[in-house]
Amino acid sequence: MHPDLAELLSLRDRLLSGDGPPESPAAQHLAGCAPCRLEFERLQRLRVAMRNAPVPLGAERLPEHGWSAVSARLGRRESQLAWPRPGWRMAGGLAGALLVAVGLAFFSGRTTHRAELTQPVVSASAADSMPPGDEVAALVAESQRLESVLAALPAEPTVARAGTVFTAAGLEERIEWIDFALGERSVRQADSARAQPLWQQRVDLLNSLVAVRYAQARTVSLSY
Amino acid sequence: MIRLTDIDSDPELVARAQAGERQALAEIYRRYSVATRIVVHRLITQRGLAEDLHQDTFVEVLQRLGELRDPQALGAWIRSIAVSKCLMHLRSPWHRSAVWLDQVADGWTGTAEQVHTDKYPDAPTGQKLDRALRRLSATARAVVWLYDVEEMTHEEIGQSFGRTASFSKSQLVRAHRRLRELLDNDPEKLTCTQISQSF
Repeated sequence: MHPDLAELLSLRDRLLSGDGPPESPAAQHLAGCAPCRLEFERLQRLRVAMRNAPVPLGAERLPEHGWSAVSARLGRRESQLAWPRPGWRMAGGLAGALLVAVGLAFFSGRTTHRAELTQPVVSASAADSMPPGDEVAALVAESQRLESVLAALPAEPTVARAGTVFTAAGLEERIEWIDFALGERSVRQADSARAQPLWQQRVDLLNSLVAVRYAQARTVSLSY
Repeated sequence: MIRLTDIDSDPELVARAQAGERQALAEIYRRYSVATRIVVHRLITQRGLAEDLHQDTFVEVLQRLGELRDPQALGAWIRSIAVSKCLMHLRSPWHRSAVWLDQVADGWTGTAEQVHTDKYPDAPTGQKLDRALRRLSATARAVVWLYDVEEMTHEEIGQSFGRTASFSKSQLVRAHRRLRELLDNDPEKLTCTQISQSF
């Protein structure tokens, strides 16, 4: 009886790994059966051909900005980890209160105009009354909260409106540039006066991105 | 064709990267990137998506580099992360809803773009094989590639899919059967009518 494909594959792999028992029934059959031997050789050739197959289109060279994109994403994560500074606990209380207020407003289901969402989350009065270092810490905390909101939203659909995709991509790109700027030594070492506007912009952009992604998720859930 | 596990590892480079040296991280990206791209692009045929997964893979690799205990295993470790990312995508509802034809027919799974590339009758054997691979179902393609080219074991492949070694074995047989059909019935000669009849 002829060995089936599974047996031939198994025999091929045992022979290639050097464990092949030439006296096995399948191997003995192969020695005397030309069609099975042809099939066996075809499997061997196919394996070799696959290893020599052309590199898939587009995979043969690195994308132009591949490393800078990876580096920017790494930098963003590092800055999130590194930035909680002395005094952030005190600001954390304030940011926590703001967080609850913003979270309730966001998830209460009311229709939120985009212009409202892009307003600075830390209110002007609260920010004005804070020392500069605490102000930055509050913005860092708010930034982290918005990141966690983004992470909690459903993954982006494979198929999405091009306009939405470009809007989100544009916002992400601007956030990455800000992260790059925040990662610069001069900004890190300088007093927080230089960092504060950057963090404020980051929070504003994240607010916009949350709004876009939230709208995207709602559209997808309603369409099913 | 370069494979991740064929790349000579450099323990000193890994140590520098683990210490956070930016230049070393960039060098690891440079050395391992193309081989990673080959695996990802073989498993995921949508180019844009494959690009995203390739980038995600390196962000994770470089973030988690400190967890790597054996620098010699860097290539295999990167491969496991890349494969995991790809399979996670293949298991996702987004992917499943997009490629329902795979489950329905396990037949023609090509896109309009692939139909277009089939009009070249004098395409070399390598390209014919490439097209046949792309026409396999995503699962069969992943299994046959990981087993026959990447030399992963059935146990490793089964584990990657969250299944058993038997699952990998049966998928491998299925993939080879389908490959033979595709290569024997020269797909270059398929007409639109024949393609539509295969549904």
